[in-house]
Amino acid sequence: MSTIDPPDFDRRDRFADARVPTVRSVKLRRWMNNALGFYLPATIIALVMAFPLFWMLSLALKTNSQIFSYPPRLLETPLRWEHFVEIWSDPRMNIGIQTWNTLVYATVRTFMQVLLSAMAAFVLARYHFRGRNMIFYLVLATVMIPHEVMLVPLYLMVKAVPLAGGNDIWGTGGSGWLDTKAGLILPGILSGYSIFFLRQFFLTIPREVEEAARIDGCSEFAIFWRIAIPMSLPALTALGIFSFQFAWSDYTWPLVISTSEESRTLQLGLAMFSSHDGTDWAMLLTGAAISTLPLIALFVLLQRFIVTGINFGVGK
Amino acid sequence: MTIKQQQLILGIVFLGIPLLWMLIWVVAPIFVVFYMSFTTYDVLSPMRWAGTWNYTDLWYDDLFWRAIGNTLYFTAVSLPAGVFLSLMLAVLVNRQLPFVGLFRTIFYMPVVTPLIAAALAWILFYETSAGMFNYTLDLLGISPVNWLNDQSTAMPAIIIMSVWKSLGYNMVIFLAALQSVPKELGEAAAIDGAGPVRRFWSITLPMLTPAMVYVVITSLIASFQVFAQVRVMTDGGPNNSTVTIVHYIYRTAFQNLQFGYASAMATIMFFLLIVASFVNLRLVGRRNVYD
Repeated sequence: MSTIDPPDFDRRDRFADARVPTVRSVKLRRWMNNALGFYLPATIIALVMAFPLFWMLSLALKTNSQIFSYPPRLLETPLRWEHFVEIWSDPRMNIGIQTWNTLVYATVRTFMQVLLSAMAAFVLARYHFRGRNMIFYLVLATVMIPHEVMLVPLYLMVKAVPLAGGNDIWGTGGSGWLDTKAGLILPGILSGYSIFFLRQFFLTIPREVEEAARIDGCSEFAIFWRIAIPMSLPALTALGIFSFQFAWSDYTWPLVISTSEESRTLQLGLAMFSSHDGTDWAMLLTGAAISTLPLIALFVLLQRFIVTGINFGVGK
Repeated sequence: MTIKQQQLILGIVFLGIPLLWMLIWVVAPIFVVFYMSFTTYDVLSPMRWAGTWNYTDLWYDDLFWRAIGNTLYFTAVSLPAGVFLSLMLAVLVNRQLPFVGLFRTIFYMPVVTPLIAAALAWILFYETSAGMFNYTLDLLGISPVNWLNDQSTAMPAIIIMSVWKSLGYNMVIFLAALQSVPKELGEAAAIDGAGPVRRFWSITLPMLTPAMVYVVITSLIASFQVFAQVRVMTDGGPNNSTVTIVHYIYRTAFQNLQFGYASAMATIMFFLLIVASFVNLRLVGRRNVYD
């Protein structure tokens, strides 16, 4: 008896299956691509990039002998969180005063920088007068000058500020602004870069807005203060964050200017845990972690502005 | 007051104060440093005219040449490595996937960390007997390296730390540039049969030229000025193998009180930077997108 086998639909389907990708196999492949092409390498790199920061914190939570024990361990129990309390009363560093100095340095400098740059940038962007471009290019040219080149003259100029720190009117005889907050803050409050940055932003405010305000009887100052400033808040915020970060982390200028607790900042104060008797690494890294945390927090909170700020400064 | 009068007053005040301030604290120091490079001055005794003696002395100062060599070494390694790695990072995170923002944040975090705090953590990384690096080498069966205390490894150690510190910043710049590259260009090239590497090389990279110029110039200036991490991690040692130009300027001026001599170094460094920036503008800028 011969019977004709029924067509093997099932098998044919399975055969077809192998050739024409189904939705499911496409999804699987894309998932594999993402995992291997992005998530795996990105995770490895992220671990490498973040490890020094984790290590800083981990060492701050160890005792000095644990820091140098071999083999190194990621975390030692118990975690010495008390370091973060003890450091505030440690006589070597005076971290309280130094945090205050750093905060004053970073805050005042940031506010003055944003305000003065906004003033100059507003005039350079919105007013038309002879020599405007000339002034703008000169301001821009100062960006080329590396700050470190000017350390020596700046130091001598700060020392020679007239009628300050025992100086006579010719700026001789005393120490001027050396080792004072004024000397720390004031010389650095303006940079060509910040004026350039805000000018580019002010240029984007439509002319009509300004004209309408003028017709409504707005004074010129009010156009700056009530229109230009509020409209450029994102750029002002970005500039403010950069300026704050820079001043908070600054090492070189305080190193040159500050010699006593009057103006010493956190980044300098950390060195106080190193002496001839050796280095108190646990406290040193606790201090380092304390000086880092505010900036990381600020960054996580305001990162939207930071990325906009960088892109804006470069893109235009 | 008329609008014109208001604008005149506002313009003079708003522009005058900042410009005067910049004139005093940004422009004047350049002339001061230039003038002082022709004098000898130690703060204690009056300034004396020295003609070009500072420059003659510099010419015969081995340590100065050493400092220039070390700075060029630092720049020659950290600049290409930094540019290449940050570009790769930017390409990696230039996609729309869940959690990509988290990775960007982590890659940027070293930039936010104060340099001194980071350098301190890295000193213990490089520690010879109990440091993480040597522990890892030990696991791989390699004998320990005396990282920061060995002439041949101290500079590479500082370079690795510096590249880690600044990768995130350049990544963000490249990322912004990558996102402005029109997708159609890549798609058209793909239809014409260009592979991914070829597409990156012939389409993406030329579009990145402005960002590239910016990154290279800013990194160049930054690496010529490398100082804080050197001061904290090695203070120029061992055997002057990590003395950089700014470190030597700092040492000469503020420790040896030779302000005239230090100013001569600063002047030379200034001109070196100007020349390097222009060369870079010509070299990188020549591959213009619109050619």
